Amino acid sequence: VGRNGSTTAAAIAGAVDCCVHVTWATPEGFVEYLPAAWREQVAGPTLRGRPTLLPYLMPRSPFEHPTGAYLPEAMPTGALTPEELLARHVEPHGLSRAVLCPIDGLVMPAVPSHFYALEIVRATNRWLAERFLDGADERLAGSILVPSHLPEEAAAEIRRWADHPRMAQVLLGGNGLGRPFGHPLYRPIFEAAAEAGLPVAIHAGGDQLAGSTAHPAAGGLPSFYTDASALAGQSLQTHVSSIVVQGVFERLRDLRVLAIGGGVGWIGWLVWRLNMEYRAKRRETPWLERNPSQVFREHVRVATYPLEAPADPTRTAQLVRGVALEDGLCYASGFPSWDCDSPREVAARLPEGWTDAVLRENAAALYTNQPTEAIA
Amino acid sequence: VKRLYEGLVYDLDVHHAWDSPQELAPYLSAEWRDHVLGNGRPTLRLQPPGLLWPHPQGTGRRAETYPEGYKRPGSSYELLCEQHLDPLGVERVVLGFDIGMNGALPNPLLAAEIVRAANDWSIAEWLERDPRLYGGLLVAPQVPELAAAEVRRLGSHPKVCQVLFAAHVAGRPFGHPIYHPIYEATVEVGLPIAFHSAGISAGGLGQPAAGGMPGSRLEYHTLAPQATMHDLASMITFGVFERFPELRLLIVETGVAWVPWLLWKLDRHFDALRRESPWVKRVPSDTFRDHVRLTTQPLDESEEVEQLVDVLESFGGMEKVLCFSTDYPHWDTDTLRSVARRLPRAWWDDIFHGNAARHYGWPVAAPAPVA
Repeated sequence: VGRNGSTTAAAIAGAVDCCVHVTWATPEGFVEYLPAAWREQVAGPTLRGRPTLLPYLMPRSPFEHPTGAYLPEAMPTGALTPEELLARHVEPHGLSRAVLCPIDGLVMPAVPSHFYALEIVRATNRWLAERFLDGADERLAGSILVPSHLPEEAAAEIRRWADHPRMAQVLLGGNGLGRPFGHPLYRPIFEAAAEAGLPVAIHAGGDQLAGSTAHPAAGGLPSFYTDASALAGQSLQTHVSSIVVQGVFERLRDLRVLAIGGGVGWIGWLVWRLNMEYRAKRRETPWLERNPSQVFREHVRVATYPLEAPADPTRTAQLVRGVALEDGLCYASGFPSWDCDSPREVAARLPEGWTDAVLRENAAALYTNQPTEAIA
Repeated sequence: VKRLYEGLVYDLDVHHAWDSPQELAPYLSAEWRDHVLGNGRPTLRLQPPGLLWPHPQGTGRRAETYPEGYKRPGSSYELLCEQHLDPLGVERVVLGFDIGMNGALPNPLLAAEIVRAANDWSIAEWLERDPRLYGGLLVAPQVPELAAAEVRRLGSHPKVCQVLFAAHVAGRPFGHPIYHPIYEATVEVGLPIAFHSAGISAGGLGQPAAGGMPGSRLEYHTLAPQATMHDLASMITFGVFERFPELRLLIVETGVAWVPWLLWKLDRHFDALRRESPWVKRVPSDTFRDHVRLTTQPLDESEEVEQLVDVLESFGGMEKVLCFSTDYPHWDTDTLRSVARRLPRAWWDDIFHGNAARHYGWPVAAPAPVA
């Protein structure tokens, strides 16, 4: 058991946060970003009783945290304004940049009404840009949510936003096609991201919709929030394996993928196992010319959120040193979700000497379209 | 080649198989015999076609383990002795069928029958033949009351050392209350249970991987332990070990490096868990340490030996959790030497025999040689 990372103010200043969760407080505040016909469907009067279908704008996961999924200050919806985000998170932790992820939109690609889901995703991007990015503090950056269930439309959505100076990454949540993201169906998405020079983030939890063909966990349906949430990293494992093994990076040598929301302790198990399997089964994937571990090291970054948190922080540091490399991890807070991590908390659980890389440098290398002076 | 470790060895995962379903004939009931044996040449596979992804080498078995005449690996007792038991000097092995997915056949009553016949076959043809051979009792968990009856029927046999779950088709992992009658029976007969990885087959309701269907056998087999991780999580979140305090579980063939990740995730949810599952009283990692053991194979091949040791040491106490296994005759067999050289010497006695001895109530020392 070695020493842990430095947590002095100087050591953690200027951190880049790869994932801050944003959502809207009420559907009324969001619906104006939908095209008129869809706005009428969800916000127009219905025939009897309820004035509108707005309460059903977004599907809900069947797995709910018993006391709410957010910090008390963000309860009950998790919605914070840009000013609140700055005052409660960016300023106090001295962040140089916070990349926003629209958390409620993650499940949309798995919604069966595919054109409705498409419009919600598009409106989410308009809402995020207008409310959080355009004219707002330059430390806030955005993610382009993509309708992965319609890959051509998804690619078009990436191209639509690619030149926005503050969109830092492409964001994949669930998938409505029942196939992990290395499937050739999704090629247009990765090609568009590579063309735009943007990394692709995959956020866990998007497969937790009831009736998702993608399944939130292996081996059957969970019964509790605890199972579903603790196992959320499983779909990340599947997607990352798929992208590595199906040769996405062999075709797109400059592409980077960021896995968010499963913590980091799974990396060793998965990558070592992929290597062992590849040694025996490489005939099956003739397009894969490098060891999976090498592909992973070059192309995949893993966000720290939610970083493993046993009572003794030196245990996390030892686990991290075992499973990961210093240049493989990027700080992400998950703020304001209940299990979020401040940069100080993460630094305290990292191996000694890793703070610079994980809090700042690795993200600077990942978000090449973002001005480095703002990040440094 | 030096074996490094010279002490007592128990191997908790060895696979035995019938070469032809014809071997089951004496053990089948009259009403099923015709169906299983067909017109004299059995054609049924008697297990679900779980593998939509063929092994690219054409077999998942080591080439040298095919008995003469290209019979099924694991079907020859003589070859098992010659290749494995004698050279390894192994004191006891636990036989686990050819993984044992037979219990997940789509026809639940046929599944229960095959499992029943397979258990009788295993006891008569293998376990009673050699003092070194112990075995799992196979169950078809899809009809829990039949599974419980099978446990009560044979669970007291002195060579049966655990109840083996290889797959379910019910769409709910093994902590779900539908399976509790089976645990009631296993506790009653005093046996531990075992979950063997790689058993979730295509066609059932339990998906082999989270997030979508894998596109290659490489991915499928890499991710197969995900289902077993969910089974473990579900045993903990449903409070199965609180309800059955004597129940103990062996997890077979998942690798071991995922343990800190999953258990610390579950621990972090403890406040939520106690509310949504009020019968859970203990922190998940405490329950795990007291009730769960893992076999070592396939021992995770970190690029540097220290990485795996770091992962295991970070969680703490893994030297009391891990039990040596080889997975003979499958392709990814571990050897005594390959395990010894990747784990600290101070752990060897516990891992090669001590933990298994305490788990099954077996001797912690080899019997003294007869003078």
